[in-house]
Amino acid sequence: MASRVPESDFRKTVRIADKALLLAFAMILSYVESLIPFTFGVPGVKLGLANLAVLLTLYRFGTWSAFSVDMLRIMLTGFLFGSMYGLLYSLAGGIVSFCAMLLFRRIRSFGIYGVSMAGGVFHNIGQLIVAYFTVRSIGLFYYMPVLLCSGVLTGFLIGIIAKSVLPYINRFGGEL
Amino acid sequence: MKKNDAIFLCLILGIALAFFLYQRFAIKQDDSGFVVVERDGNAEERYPLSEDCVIRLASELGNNTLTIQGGKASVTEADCLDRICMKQGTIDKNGQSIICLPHRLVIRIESGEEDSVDGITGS
Repeated sequence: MASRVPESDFRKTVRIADKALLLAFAMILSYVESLIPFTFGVPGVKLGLANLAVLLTLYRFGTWSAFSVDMLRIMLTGFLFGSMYGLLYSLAGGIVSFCAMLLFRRIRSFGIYGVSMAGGVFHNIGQLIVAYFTVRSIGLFYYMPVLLCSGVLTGFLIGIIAKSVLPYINRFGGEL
Repeated sequence: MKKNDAIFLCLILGIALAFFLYQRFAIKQDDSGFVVVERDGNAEERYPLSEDCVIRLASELGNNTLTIQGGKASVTEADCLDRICMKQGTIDKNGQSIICLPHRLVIRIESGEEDSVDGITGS
């Protein structure tokens, strides 16, 4: 995917703008997601809609760009709309989720659906584990079935959307 | 969709189902439930589900108000930042819990009798 020809300044600027747009998209998805009631006693547990933006960035621009978008999204959303307290949990979930997505992507036999589902599931599992270390109660694991299902199912849906959108981003993205 | 994706999907759903079935059948469900209040993982107080009461749970981390009414428990007041505990609704079945993470508080339902399983590894 990397270009062998030295990139013109114009191209570079377009790339930066594209990534910034994806970051903004991630933040909007976070906001929309916050409107949907989905509280289950473990802070930071979410539907994982913002992962769509991260996934698109991953397949369009690569690992580091996706990581930046993910981390920046978490921090910006945390500072602007959430509490410092929830931020730590979000970061934990985000890092676990991202590592899982990278791992799944490396394994050739997983497609974009697998990567997306992994991101969703491991975000929730990560949150649960961090919450467990804080509270140390088995009662937490009562939520496992719901968290696992929602993680996988939203991951699957996000995978469908990402797969449909990616060809269009690549065509107009300015590089290919 | 690649084959491994489908396998992963089924695997996770299977694990979720396993968790669900375990909670449903291995852990006893009956009416003589107790509301157990845990702080930092330590069970501190027990209240029977059968008696309606309103309890103020105060700690240096913050306050929560536990209400037991009509055989169900819920958190009706809390001064934590996110108030997730208040949004969790009511619990009345064995194994269910309401958690206030900022206050390190877990409110669980426990059966009055022994479970069919002696324990769960963990802590």
